[in-house]
Amino acid sequence: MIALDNVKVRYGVRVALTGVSTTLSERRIAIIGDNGSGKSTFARLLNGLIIPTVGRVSVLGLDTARDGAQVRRRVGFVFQNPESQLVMPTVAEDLAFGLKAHGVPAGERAARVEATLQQLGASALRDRACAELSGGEKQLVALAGALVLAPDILICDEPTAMLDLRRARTFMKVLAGLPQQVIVVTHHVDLLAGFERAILLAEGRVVEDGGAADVIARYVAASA
Amino acid sequence: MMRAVYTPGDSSVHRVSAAAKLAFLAATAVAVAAGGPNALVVVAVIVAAAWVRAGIGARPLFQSLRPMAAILIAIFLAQVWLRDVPGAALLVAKLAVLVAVAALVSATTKVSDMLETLERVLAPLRRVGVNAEHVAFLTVLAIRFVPALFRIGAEVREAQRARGLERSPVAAIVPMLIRALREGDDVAEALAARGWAPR
Amino acid sequence: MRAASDTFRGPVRVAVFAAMVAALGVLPPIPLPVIPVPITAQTLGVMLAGLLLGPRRGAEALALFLLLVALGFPLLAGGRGGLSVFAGPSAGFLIAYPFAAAATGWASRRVWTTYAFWRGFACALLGGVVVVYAFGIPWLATVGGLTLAQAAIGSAVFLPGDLVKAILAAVIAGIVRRGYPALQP
Repeated sequence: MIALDNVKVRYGVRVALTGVSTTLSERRIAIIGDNGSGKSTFARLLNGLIIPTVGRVSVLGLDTARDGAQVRRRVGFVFQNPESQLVMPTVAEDLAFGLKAHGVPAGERAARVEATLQQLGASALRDRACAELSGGEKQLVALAGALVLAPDILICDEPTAMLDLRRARTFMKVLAGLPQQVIVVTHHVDLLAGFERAILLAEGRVVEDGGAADVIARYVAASA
Repeated sequence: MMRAVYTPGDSSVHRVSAAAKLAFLAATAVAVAAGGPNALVVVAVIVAAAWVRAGIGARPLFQSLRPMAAILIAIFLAQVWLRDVPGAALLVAKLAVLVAVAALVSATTKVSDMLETLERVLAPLRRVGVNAEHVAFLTVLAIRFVPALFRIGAEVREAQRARGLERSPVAAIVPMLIRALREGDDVAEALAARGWAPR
Repeated sequence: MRAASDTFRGPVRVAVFAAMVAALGVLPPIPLPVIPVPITAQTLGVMLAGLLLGPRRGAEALALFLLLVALGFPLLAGGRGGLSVFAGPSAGFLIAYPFAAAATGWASRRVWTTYAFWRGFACALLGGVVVVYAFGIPWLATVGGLTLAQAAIGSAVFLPGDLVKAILAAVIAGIVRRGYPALQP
């Protein structure tokens, strides 16, 4: 459960997002809109990577401005660029890195890494060098890196923007199967099957909010 | 992972621990610097024997000494002019032997073993504010960035060639820097999202 | 707006710049007429690290770069690496890197808000030339059994190239300063 209360975000003089008050409780929510509409800012508000200039964001009862580190423990985040998210030399080491940062004892790490890779059908990648993975594989490992920390909520900021259509479809299918609440910022509106709710942003404001199919259909029609 | 100057092998020299080899390097440096011709001959014989034993060929030695050849020749000539030929030869031989010992250590020790030894050496420095784990992490992170920056550099040079700017260092370096900074900031954000706490 | 990732940027930039100095080592040498020694962009990286990252991060970046070289990666211009580069007579010029970046960064921090080419140039000279030579020349004199004057004369062949690099560093830092305002030395 995430609640935004009269949120405004300003970068210097530019207003990135304003007047946002809403509660996010559905299992599958899509955030859509043109470039520069405030989608990425919206996503980063939800795990405290960005703190509102005005207003309040509370995640699972925690205030992101005060308890940012705790919020990030409960909320996983997958970014657009697969290149930027993997830091350690091999897949297994990279997944273990996050666990280590979270203070998970060394003895438990291997089992959790294994379980997460298995859940995503990616066990074969375990000992591969991160630098040698394809873009789609990297994004899958980035997702695994978020999931291995057992988050309650997963936020994805345009996770498929750098993938080809086939990889994008595979990635969205994996997301569909996750037990967590998933909030996805995306341009790939045709890959949102099964999403319950969609929020359309334009120029930093929420302009449409409702059933995913309706909002997407109106956005697609308006963009034509 | 980047290629290092390490030359793979399974000799007894390879198997000696990194810490022992680094200690040997330090000891020989002192012996060669402070000792006379006799100490130099002893060290040279030991290093030559170890080199043969390691079975790594002459390439690592050649690669280390060749870039210094000009400066070693210059020092030799200056010393001949300042003193005499035997003195000049001894000094240059000392330098060459030191370089050879260091080259032998690097050629027979894996980067990961070096890094592990470093972490152990730095561990007691925690009290004076050096965090060994943080140093090791930054090292891994930098190793990760090197191929990325080589790639960014190549892409930028290709783009500038297409615009006819291949002779301008500014046109090559500015976009490379800005892209690298942006990628670094993206990585920082991803690290923050995964709960990493910098020190 | 405060972003939680701001505090994470500094340490990551240290790693980025260590890699940047390595990548500058493979740039095609800058052609300079008359001068017999090849000019590589690596000390340009030292000046830029100081100018753009400031004293502490700049010094850390160069210390990290030297660490990568010492660990065995052939990242010095010309593909040199390993411990042997620190055993040679010109090692002082390398050991100077972190101190040079710190000096340039210390000066850069003072002029950043009123940055102009000449100020950047002065910062780059302070670290990239004064400090580098202050380490390199006595080291060369000691190891090579030379007088300071002889070592200085021998090192002077690099001076024109280093001046060109200081000019480039000042120009580049000025452009990056405007092109990437998130940066604060």
